[in-house]
Amino acid sequence: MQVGRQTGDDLAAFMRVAVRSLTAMLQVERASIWLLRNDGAALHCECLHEAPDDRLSSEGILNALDFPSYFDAFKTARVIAADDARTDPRTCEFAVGYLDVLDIHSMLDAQIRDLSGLRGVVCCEKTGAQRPWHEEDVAFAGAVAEYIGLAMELSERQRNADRLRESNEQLREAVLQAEQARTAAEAANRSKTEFLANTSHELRTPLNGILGGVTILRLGVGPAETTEWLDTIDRSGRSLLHTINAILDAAALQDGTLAVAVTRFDIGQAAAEAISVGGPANFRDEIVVQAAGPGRLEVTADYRKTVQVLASLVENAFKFAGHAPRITVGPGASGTVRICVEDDCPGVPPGSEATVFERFSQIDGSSTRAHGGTGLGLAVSRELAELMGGELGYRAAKSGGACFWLQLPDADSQDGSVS
Amino acid sequence: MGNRILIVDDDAVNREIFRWSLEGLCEIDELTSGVGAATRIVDVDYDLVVLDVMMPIIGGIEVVEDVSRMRADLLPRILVVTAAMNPGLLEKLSPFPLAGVIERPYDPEQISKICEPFFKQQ
Repeated sequence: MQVGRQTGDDLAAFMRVAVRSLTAMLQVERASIWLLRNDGAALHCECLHEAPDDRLSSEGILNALDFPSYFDAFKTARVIAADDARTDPRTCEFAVGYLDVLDIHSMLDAQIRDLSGLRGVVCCEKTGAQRPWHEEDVAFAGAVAEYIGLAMELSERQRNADRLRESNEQLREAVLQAEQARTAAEAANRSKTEFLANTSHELRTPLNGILGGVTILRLGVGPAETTEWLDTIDRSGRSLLHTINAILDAAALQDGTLAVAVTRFDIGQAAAEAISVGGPANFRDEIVVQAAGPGRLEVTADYRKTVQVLASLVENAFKFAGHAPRITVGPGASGTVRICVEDDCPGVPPGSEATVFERFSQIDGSSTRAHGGTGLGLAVSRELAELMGGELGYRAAKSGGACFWLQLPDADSQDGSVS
Repeated sequence: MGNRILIVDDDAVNREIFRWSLEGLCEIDELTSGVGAATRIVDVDYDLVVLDVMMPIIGGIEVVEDVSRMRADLLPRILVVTAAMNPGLLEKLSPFPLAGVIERPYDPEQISKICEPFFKQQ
């Protein structure tokens, strides 16, 4: 017998070897291992070897209430060596229902103990005739019982070690998850802080234009300059409105209360208005809307929101590329009109195409924040486009720059669908 | 020799308000982004540089860093203006001995009051 590192399965195998050794070495017909239930009030048979048929089984329960003398005896004595089991006061309780039935005459029981104390009993039974137990028989049964106790101890330790390793892994996993959650929360928090800083920048810049213009007008300037400053105030006001709309739309999208008013309109006109809102004054004339074919292209969408999406794209082109974008209007995928806003800036790094459409995100969010903007533009724009039955996407332009495109339902292929 | 200032701001309205406010007080140069600003600041002996923070391509903070590398002694002539002040910005700029970091004024009187201390007495 070898007592090695035992697992649950190994322990059962070890017990089978133990009972076989007992029957063989002690020349008895039956040898079994019984373990105490946790409450100590019953013994469960873990393993029984019946030598005549070489049969292994594991059935049977002995209740302390039914066999009080035996329980007292085996709990107090290391070994019970009953040569005549039927008359021995420690084992006679078994006589009628058990010993007689199985023709058992002698019993040799040894305590199984481990570090936590009494765990069970090893039981050797001689049938057919009485067997006087000798000192070496008792020693052998005791030794086997000791081994079993040791094996149980090791198995228990192994199980504990496994459990410890398991809970360690769970703990590590939990820590990892907590860290990920914290990182995500921190990132969201940082994004929102950046968003707040950027938003106040975006709101204050045109507001400065309005307040500054008003102050200048109040101080009194010539008629030509007055017109100029009125234009400035007007443009600043629109730009402010555009930013406020974007923030309000973002909030409305968030709680699902945003409504679109779909009408039929000329996309070229929407693009022209978008340029006046999204482009800086001194660049506005540089932006030309190119039509892919002759005639007006009409779409069915929400006019104000279409202008807003396009203005955001124009604004982005100025922010990131620093120059006027090229805007082309033409037919898109079946039944749609596509507006492309293209610039020559290196554009979106490969792999970040999805990120630019996330809220509060700017790919270069960490750096000098040179680009400004609320970081809501593309996220909100995409949602607006989808609400209008359209699509907003990105592709790298042939020039190596960035090309954002908005696709909206073509009014002519939607006849009758909009009143 | 008259006073000379440089306004670096991507927002045309902001530049215009400054120009209007300082008209007659000094010669005014303008840049619409931080591109080339640092070299210009080093090359031309400006009495004051009004530098915006958030600009396309090259922002104000990068300009400050560049000037600090080339001619740190010019930093006290740079006034950083921002549309919206935040602690992060102040922290980033705290190592530099700048003329100041302020929220951008829009009132012409206030603008001239802020800029005048930098001008040489005529």
